[in-house]
Amino acid sequence: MRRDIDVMAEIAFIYPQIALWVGACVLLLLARPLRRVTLPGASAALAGVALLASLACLVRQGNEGLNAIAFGGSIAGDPLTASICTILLLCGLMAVALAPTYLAARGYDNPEYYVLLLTSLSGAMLMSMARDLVVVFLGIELLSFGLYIMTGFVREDARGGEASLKYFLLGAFASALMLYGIVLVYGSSGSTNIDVLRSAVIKESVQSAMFAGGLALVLIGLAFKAAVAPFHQWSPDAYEGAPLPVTAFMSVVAKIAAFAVLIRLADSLAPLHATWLPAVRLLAIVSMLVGNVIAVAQRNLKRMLAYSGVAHAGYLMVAVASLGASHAKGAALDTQTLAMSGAVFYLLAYAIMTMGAFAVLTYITGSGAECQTLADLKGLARRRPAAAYGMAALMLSLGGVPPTIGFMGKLQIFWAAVAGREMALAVTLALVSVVAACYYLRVILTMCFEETGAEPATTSAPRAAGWVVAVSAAAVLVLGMMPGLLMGVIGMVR
Amino acid sequence: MLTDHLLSALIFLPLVGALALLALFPAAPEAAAHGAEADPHAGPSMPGGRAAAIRLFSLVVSLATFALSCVLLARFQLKAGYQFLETADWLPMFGAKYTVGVDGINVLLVALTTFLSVLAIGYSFTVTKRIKEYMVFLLVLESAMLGVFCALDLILFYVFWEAVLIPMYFLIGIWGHERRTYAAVKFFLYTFAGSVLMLVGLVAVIRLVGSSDLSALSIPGSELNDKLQGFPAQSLMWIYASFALAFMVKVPMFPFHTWLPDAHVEAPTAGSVILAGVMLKMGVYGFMRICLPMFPLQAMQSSGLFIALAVIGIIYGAVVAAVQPDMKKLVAYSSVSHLGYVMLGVFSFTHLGMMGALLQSINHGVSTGMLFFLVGCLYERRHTREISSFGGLKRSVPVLSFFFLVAMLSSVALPLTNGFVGEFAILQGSYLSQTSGPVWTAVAAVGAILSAVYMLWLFQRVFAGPVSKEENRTMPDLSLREKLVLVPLVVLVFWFGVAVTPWVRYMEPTITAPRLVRPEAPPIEYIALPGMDGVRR
Repeated sequence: MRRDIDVMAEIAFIYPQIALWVGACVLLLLARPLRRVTLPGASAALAGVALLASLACLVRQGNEGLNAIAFGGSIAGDPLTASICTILLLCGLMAVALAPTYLAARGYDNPEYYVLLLTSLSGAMLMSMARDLVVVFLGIELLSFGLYIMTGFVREDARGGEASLKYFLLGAFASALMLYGIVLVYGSSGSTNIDVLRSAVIKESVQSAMFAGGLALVLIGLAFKAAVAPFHQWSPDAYEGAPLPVTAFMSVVAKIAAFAVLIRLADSLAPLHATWLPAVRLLAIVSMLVGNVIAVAQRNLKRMLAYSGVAHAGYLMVAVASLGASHAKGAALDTQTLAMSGAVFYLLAYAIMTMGAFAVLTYITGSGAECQTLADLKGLARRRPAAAYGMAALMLSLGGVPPTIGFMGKLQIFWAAVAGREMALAVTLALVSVVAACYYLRVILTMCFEETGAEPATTSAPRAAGWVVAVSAAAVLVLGMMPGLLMGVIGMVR
Repeated sequence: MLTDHLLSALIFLPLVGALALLALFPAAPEAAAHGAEADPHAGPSMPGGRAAAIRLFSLVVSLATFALSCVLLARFQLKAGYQFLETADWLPMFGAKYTVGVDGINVLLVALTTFLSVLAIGYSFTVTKRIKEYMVFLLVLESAMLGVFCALDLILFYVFWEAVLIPMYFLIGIWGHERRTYAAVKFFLYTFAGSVLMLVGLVAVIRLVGSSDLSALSIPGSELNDKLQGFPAQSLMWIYASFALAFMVKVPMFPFHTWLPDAHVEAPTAGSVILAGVMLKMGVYGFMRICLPMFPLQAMQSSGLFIALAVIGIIYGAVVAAVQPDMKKLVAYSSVSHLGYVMLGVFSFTHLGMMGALLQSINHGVSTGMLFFLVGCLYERRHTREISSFGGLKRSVPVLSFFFLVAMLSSVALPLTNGFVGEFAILQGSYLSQTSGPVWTAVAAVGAILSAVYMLWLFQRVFAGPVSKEENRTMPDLSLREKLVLVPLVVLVFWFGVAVTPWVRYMEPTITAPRLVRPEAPPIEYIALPGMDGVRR
C-alpha cells in the first residue's frame, strides 16, 4: 500500500515538535554563555519563545493539521490531538514561568532544565499524535526521561534524589510492562497500528486472550503514567520530593498525555468494550475512592495534590468508561462526542487548576524555603490576600464547586456518565465530591480563617509566578461561568 | 430597555459592585495590614475614611439593587406566568440557556432578598475586621441568592444554588464567633452533600426530556412537563428524591436540621439574618418551583412523610428552643419550628396552604431577621448571648426592648402581626387538606403554643423584672443606625399583619393558576381562598 508521500507536508505536520527541538538545541548550544549571563530568566525566556513558536505553528496548521496523516500512519492529526497539544503547550508556558526564581535561589537555573522541559513536552505531544503503539511508547519514554531527571534536578536535595530514583524505577517497570503488552498485541494481531487494530476488532478477527492480555498491560502502563489507583504509588513521593516547578509540570503533563492515549484507545477499540470496560470502571471507582480518601489525611500540600490528582484521574476514567459504555449501549454518536469533549475539557480544567495551585505555592515560596505544608499557608489571606483568594478559587474549582471551571468539567463528565447510563459511576463521582470538598476546604480555612500565621517571608514574590496565579485563577472563574468561550477550541474533539 | 434586562441588572448589580469595591479600594500596604489587624476585636484596622467609604459604597450598591427590585414589584403584572423573561445562549454543549424570570412565587422572595441585604449591610457598619472582604462577600452572596430565585434553567439554578455556599462559607469562617471554623465547614459540607445528588437527578431530567428549560418544565401541562411525566414512575421517584433531599437539607427539615444551629449561631449577625431570612427560603422555593410541578405524583405519594417530618420539626424545634441557654441558638431552633409550618403549608397541596407557606417564608425572614439583629445588638454591647447574663433590660434599654417585643410577638404569630396571617393560612390550608388533615394540623397548632412559651419566657428572662446584672444598667440603647435598620422591619410586621391583600395579590394568580397542582393526580383537591369564592370542598 504505497501512496504518494508528500514529504514536506508530513514535515509541516510536525512543525510544532520541531519548534520545541530547535528551542532545545539552541538552549544547549548557548548553555555556556547563558550560564555566565547574570540576567535572571534568560533561559526561561528562550524556552518560552520556543513554546510560543510551537503554539504559533500549531495554530497556523489550522484545519490542515486536523486531517494530516504522517510517517506511514504512525502519527496523525485530528481535533483531539490539536486540543491536547494546545493544552500541553499552555502548561509548558506556565511551567517555564514558574521555574526561574525558584531554581535560581537554589543555584540551578540552568539552561539544561529548560532543554529537559521542552523535550519532555515534545514527548507528551508525540503521545497525543501517535496512531501506533510503538510511537506511544516512544513518546512515553521521551516524556518520562526528562521528568526523571527534572525530579532530581536540585542535586543537593536528598529527597529529590530519592524521588527521582523511585520515579525512575517504578516508571521503568511500568514501561517494561507496557512494552510487553505491545508485543502481545502485535503477536496476536500482527500490527501495532491503532487504526489497523480497530478494523481488526470490528472484523472480529482478533478475540484471543493474548490480545486482551496485551491490552491489559498497555492499560496498566498508561494507568501508571496517569497515576490511576492502584498504580499511583509513585506519585505522592515523586510529587513531594521534586522541586515545586517540576511537580507542577509533571502533575499535569504526564496525566494529560497518558489520558490522550487512553481516550484515543477507548475510542478506537470501543467495539471491544466488553473486554476493557469492566477494568476501566473498576479503575475509575478505585481511583476516585483511594485518591479522595487518602488526600483527606494529608497535611503536605504536595502530597495532597498528588492524591487529588489520583482522584481526578478517577474522574477522567469515568469519562473514558462512559465513552465505551455509550458505544456498548448503542447510544447516539453525540453522547460519545460528549464523553470525549468532556474528558478533554476536564483535562484543560485540571491543567489550569493544578498548575495554578502549584503556582501559588511557588509564588509564596519565592526564593525562600519551599512552602509545602498546610502550616505554611496559615493566615495567608492577611499576608497576601490576592494569592490566598486566588488559591481559594483554585481549590473550589478542584472541588468542583460552581461557578468554576472544575464544576463545568465535572458536569460534562457527569453528563457523559448519565448519557452512557453509568449511574453507579455518576453517583460515586457525586459522593466523592463531598469527600474532596473536605480537604480542599481545609486549605481555604487555613489560609483565610486562621488569624495568626507564619511571619511573611522576607523575599519578594516572583512576578512571573504571580502572573500564572492571576491568569489561572481568573481563567478558573471566567471559564467556569462562560465555558462556551472554549467551545471553539475543544467543541468538536471527535 | 430597563424592563428588558431588569432581572439581569438586578442579579448582577451586587456582583459588579463587589468587583468595583475590589478595584476602587486596592489592598492596603502589607505591613500596615499586618500590624494593625493582629487582634480580631481590635479597633479600626485601616484609616477611618477608607473604611467609611467602603461601607457607604456597599450600602449604595445594595440600595440601588433594592431600588431595582422596587421597580420590579411596581412593573410586575398581577397575573400568572413568567414575566421579565430573559434568555441568552449559555452552555452550547448542554443546550442550557441563561434564562431568568419572575412569577408570583419568586417575585416577593427577590424583593425580600434585596431588602434584607440592605439592612444586613447597614447593620454591619460596626464590623471593623477586614471590612472590604466582608462587604465583597455580602454583595456576592446577594447576587448568588438573587440568581437562585430568578434562574429558570436547571443548570443555571444549580450553579447559583451552589455558588451561594461560597460567600457564606467565608462569612461564617472569617467573621463568625468562637467555633466559626467548625460551623463554616459543617455548613458547607452538609449542604454540599445534600446538593450533589441533585446534580445527578438534574442531569437525568435533562437527559430524559432533552431540555433544561425550567420555565417550561415548571409549568404543569406544558409539553416538556408532560414528556417528563411519561417516564417510569420509579425513575421519577429516584430523581424526585434527589431533588427533595437537597431542598430538605436547605430548608432544613427534621432530621437534616443539625447544620442550622451551628451555622446560625456562629455566623456574624448579618450572616445569620441572611441565612435565616433568605437562604432557608431557597429550599422552600425549590420545593415549590421544582419538586411539586415537576414531580406531582411523587410529591403526592411522599406527602405523608413530609407532613410528618414538618410537624415533628415544628414540635421538636420549639421544644429544643425552649431549653436553650443561648439566645441566638434559641432563635435558630425557632427557625426549625417555623420552617416546619412552611413545609406543612407546601405539602398541604391547597392554594391556601401554599400561599400561607410563601407568606410565612417572607414573614419568617422579617421577624427572625429582626430577632437576629436584636440579639446581635445585645451581643455587641455585652459580648455574650447567654440569657442568664441579662435581665430587666427594659429599664436600661427601653427602645431595644420595644423592638424585641414587636419581633417576639410577630414570631409567636399574634394577630395583627405578620406571623399570624401566614401561620393561620397554613393551618387552615392544612386543616382542609386531604394530605395533612385535622389531626396533623392539631398537632402542628400545639407548636404555636410552644412558640409562645419559649418566646415569652425568653422575653421575660431578658427584659422583664429588675436589672439583675450591674453591667446591664449602663448599657447604651439603640443607636440611630440600628433604629434605621429595625424600623422598616417593624413597618413590615404590621403591614403584613393588618393589610396583607396587596402582597397576596402578587402570588395569588400564580398559586391559583390552573394545574399548578395537576388535576390528574387523583387525591389532590382544590381549595380556593376564603372570601374569593367561598370555601369549596
